[in-house]
Amino acid sequence: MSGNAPVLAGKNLTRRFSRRASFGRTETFTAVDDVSLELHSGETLALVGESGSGKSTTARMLAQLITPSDGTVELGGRQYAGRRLGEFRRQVQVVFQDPFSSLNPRHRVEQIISAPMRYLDLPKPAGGWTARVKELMERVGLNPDHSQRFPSQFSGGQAQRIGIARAIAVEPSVVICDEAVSALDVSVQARVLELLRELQQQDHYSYLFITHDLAVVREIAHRIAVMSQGKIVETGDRQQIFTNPQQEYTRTLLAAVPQIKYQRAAAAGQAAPETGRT
Amino acid sequence: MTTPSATAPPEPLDAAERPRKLGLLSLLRGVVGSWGAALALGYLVVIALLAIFAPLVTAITGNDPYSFNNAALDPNLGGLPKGALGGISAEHWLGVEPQNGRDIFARIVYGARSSFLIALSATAITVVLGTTLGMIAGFVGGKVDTVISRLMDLLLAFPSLIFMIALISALPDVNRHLMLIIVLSLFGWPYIARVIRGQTMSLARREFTEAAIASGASRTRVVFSEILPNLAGTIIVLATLAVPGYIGTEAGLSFLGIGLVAPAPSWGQMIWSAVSWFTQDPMYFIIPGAFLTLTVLSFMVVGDRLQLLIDPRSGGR
Repeated sequence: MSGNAPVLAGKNLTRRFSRRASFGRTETFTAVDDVSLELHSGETLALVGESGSGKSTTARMLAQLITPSDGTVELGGRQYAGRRLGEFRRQVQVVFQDPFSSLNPRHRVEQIISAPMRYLDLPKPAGGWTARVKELMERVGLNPDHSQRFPSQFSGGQAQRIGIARAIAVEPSVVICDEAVSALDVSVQARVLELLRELQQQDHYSYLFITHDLAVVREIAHRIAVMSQGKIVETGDRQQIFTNPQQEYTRTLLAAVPQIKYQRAAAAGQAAPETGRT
Repeated sequence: MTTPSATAPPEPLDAAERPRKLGLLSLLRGVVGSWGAALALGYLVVIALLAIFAPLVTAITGNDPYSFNNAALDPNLGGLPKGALGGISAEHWLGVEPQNGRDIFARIVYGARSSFLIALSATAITVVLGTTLGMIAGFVGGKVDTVISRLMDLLLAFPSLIFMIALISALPDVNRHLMLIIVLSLFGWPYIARVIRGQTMSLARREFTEAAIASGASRTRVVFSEILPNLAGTIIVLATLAVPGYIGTEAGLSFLGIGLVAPAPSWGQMIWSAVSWFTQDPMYFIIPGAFLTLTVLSFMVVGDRLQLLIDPRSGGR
């Protein structure tokens, strides 16, 4: 990757959670411990690790959904907080794990996709949001005639496309995908990953991809950061991590992947029966 | 699925995934789908129409609720109505009151007016108050939640009937309708706020709330445009089930003589006057009692049916 300044950077991010234990004591648990990450323009950085390794917490701090106990998040070298958070959100959008639970069940698709544009006070086009929403639906491979439907009228893969359309609606520079394809079955996964790659080629989004699924990582990542127990244990190019891992933990993680998954994912790449347009 | 997709065949949805529409029309259709609820709704519509058009209705029957009709009474029997069944006749459809001969049908119709006016106003106020405070407590949490929750606990734990009696007796006798509405609302909102608070807390933890925040929504916008639409069903059910409670309480207070007072017509106060005539003229007691019972029952049946339609898992309470 290029050596320019990073688009999004987390510096010494630490997040502690405290919970009340019995007899009035408070237990503190450090979910993320002094993590620094840099995401460069147009690249896909995969943050991998097992459940509980703190990768999701890291992602939520980078998206400024939770505040770090220590450390800073910088976008283009600057910090955005308080009133200026809107400018940050304009540049950094999130695609969530569960396509259904991340879409408001009582909102129509048009309302969902136009939400960031409305919430971030983008100028409303003369004819309303409809035309822009339809254009976005077409871009993510959805039928624009379905803009008045509710999320429950879509399949999981289609619902995740709605989530992607929402994320790219304000033309951000960074899209954080928090386990964005892990709730989908393997064939649909491949199609959604393909869409994300296409969008990146067209609009040069930088992706931060949070996942525990190494098959997904192999598909999409340029660089990989491996997390374990709240710390980043290894960072490197995809090639290097997969062929020549330096750390014992990375080797264990790679060895733990059932081999069959690669074959299924590869087969699904050719003949994916996902519905909806692509 | 009506519009087929241009390139791919629409996939079939299984029953569980089919969207549950919340349109008013489909809810109405759902209520009418059960004969019990249809009957209850029909009864409520009739009573509501009678209440709304009360002056017109009494003009048709030719009896207003206030004038005495000595002609309909039998002076030899100590002022009991002439004829069987409390004086039911072509002229007085539901008979007349003993001793003064006021037309019972006219008083029932005007009584429905008072009952509905008080119950619906109190419901509107408690729904607005309960929803707002419940959402604030559930979403903001922390100290705000503690303050609102303790206030709710206090009001819920209060012996509200005793307090209502004391309050209404102590306050100056300005407008009994208004006072009843205020007192009922004061003690009624925590029942709604409690449920709304719990639901808001669970909705606030759902991913779409976080997605809205990531989309740049302010807290106010999250509450009003993301969470509130998901509470619509609950609010409809709570409101429908609150109305019979208020009608019953208003009747109870009027029965005790501190609600609406004669000559203002009120079902509860009619029942109270009928108590001393029960052995000689049971119809005087039965008629307002039946109207009150049927109204409260109908609201409950419709409310339960709505709850079943909106939240099938609840199993109708």
